[in-house]
Amino acid sequence: MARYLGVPLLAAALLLAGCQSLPDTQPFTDATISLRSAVGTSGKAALTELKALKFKESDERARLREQVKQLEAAWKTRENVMKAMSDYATSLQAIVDAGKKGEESVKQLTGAAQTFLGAVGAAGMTGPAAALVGDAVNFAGGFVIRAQAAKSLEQAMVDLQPAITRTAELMAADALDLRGMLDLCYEQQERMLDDEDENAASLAFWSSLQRERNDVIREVRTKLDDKKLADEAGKAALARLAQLDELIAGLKPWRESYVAKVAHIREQQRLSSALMDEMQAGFGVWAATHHKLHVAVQTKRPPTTAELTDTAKRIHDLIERFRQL
Amino acid sequence: MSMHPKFAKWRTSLDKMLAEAGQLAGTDSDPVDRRDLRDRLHFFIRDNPDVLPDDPSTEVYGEMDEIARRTRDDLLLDEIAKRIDRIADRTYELGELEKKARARAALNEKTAKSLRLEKATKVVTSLTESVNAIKELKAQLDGSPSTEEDFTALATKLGKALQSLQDLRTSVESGT
Repeated sequence: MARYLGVPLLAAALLLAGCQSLPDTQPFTDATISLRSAVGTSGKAALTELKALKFKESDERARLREQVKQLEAAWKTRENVMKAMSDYATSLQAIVDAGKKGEESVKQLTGAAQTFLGAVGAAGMTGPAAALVGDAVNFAGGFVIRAQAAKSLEQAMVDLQPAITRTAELMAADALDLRGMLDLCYEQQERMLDDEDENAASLAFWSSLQRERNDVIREVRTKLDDKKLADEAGKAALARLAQLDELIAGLKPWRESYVAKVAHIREQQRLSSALMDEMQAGFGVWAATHHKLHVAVQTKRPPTTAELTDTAKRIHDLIERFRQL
Repeated sequence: MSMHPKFAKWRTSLDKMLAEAGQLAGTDSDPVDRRDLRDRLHFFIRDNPDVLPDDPSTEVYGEMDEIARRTRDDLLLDEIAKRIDRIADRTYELGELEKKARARAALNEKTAKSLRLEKATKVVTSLTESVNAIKELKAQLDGSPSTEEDFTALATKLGKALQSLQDLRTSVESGT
C-alpha cells in the first residue's frame, strides 16, 4: 500500500503514455464452453447409439459391451480435459477483469486504509488536496494493475499455447473417428430395421415387385414401339402391370412407415455428422484464436474473434437441434 | 433331399463375398470397399429365396442368411473397434494436457486474486475490525459490568476481538 501511496504523479503520467490494453477474452471463453458442450453431447450420442445396436450372437454382444466400456472410459478423459480448458478460459477472463477493474480495487484498498487510519485516530490528509491525491493514486494504481494483468495474461497464454494446440489436434482427430463410428451405428440401425420380420418379408416382396414391374414396363414399351400392344402378349403385359401396381399399392402403408423410419435415422446421421464436422473445424479455430489473443496482448492490438464467435454459435445451434431429435 | 434349383448361384455369390471378407480382414483397406461388401451381404440376405416351411430344399437359404449376417456384423464390429482403439490411444496424452490446463487455471485464479488486491484489503479490513473490537472492549471494562447481561456482552466482544485477531493471523500466515 505504501508504494502505491508513494507513486509520484509523474510516474503515473509515464504509465499513462505506455498504457496496456487488455483483449476481450469472452469470445474465447464462450467458444471453449460451446466446444465443451459439443464434446459432452457427441460422446453421449455415440454411447447411446452404440448401446442400441443389437447382434444375434452372444460373442458379438460381448464384444460390443467391451467397446462401450472402452469408449466410456476414454470419453470421460475428454470431458475432463474440456472442463480444465473451460476453467482455464474462465481464469484468463478473471485476469482480464481484475486488470480492467484495477482502479476500483485500488480505491477499495485505499478506502479500507482510510477507515483503518480513522479507527486508530491517525490524522490523515483532508480536503480537496487529499481528494486529488487519492484520485491520482487510484488512477495510477489502476494502470499498474492493468500492466501487471497484461503481463500475467501473456505469460499464461505462452505457457499453455502448446497444450491448447495439441488438445485441438487430438480432439479434432477424435471428432473424425467419432463421426465414422456414428455413421457405422446408423448404418447398422438401418440394417436392424430391415432385419425385423415384418420389414424383411415386405422389403423382399417390394424389391421383387419393383424388379418385375421394370421388366414388364420394358416389355410394354417394346410392344408400343412395335405397335403390337393390342395383341395377346401386349394385353397380357398390360394386365400384369395393373396387377403389379395393385400389389405395390397394397404395400403403401407399410412402405410409408418404413421410409419415415429410414428418413429419421438418416436425419440423425446428417445432424451428428454436421456436429462432428463443426467440432473438428471448431477446435482448429479455437486454438488459432488463443494464439491471436496472445499476439494481441503482445502487440497491444485488439484481436479479431468473429470466426470463433460464428463457430461457437453454429455448434450451439447444432447441439440444440440434435437434442430435439 | 433335392437341391433347390437356384442354390448354386446363391452359394457362389456368398462364397465370393466370404473370400473378399477374408482378404479385407486385418488390412487397412479402403473403408468404402468394406462398406460396399457389407451392403452386398445385406442385399444377399434380403434378395435370396425365402425359407418355406413346406419346402426343405429352401432351408439352405436360412443357413446362408445366417452366415451372411454374421460376416456382415463382424465386419461392422471390426470397423467400430478400429475407431474406438484410435480414440483410446489418444487418451493418455489428453490426460496429461488436462493436468497442464488445470495447473495453469489455478495459477491464473491466484494471479487474478492478487491483482484484485483482495489479500491486502482483507488484511486492512481485519485489522480495522480488531481495533474496533478492542476499543469496544476497553469501553466495556472502564464501565464496570454490574449485570449478567453486561458479562454476556463483554464475553461476546472479547470473542469477536479474538476471532478478528485470529483471522488476521490466518490471512497473513496462509497468504490468502
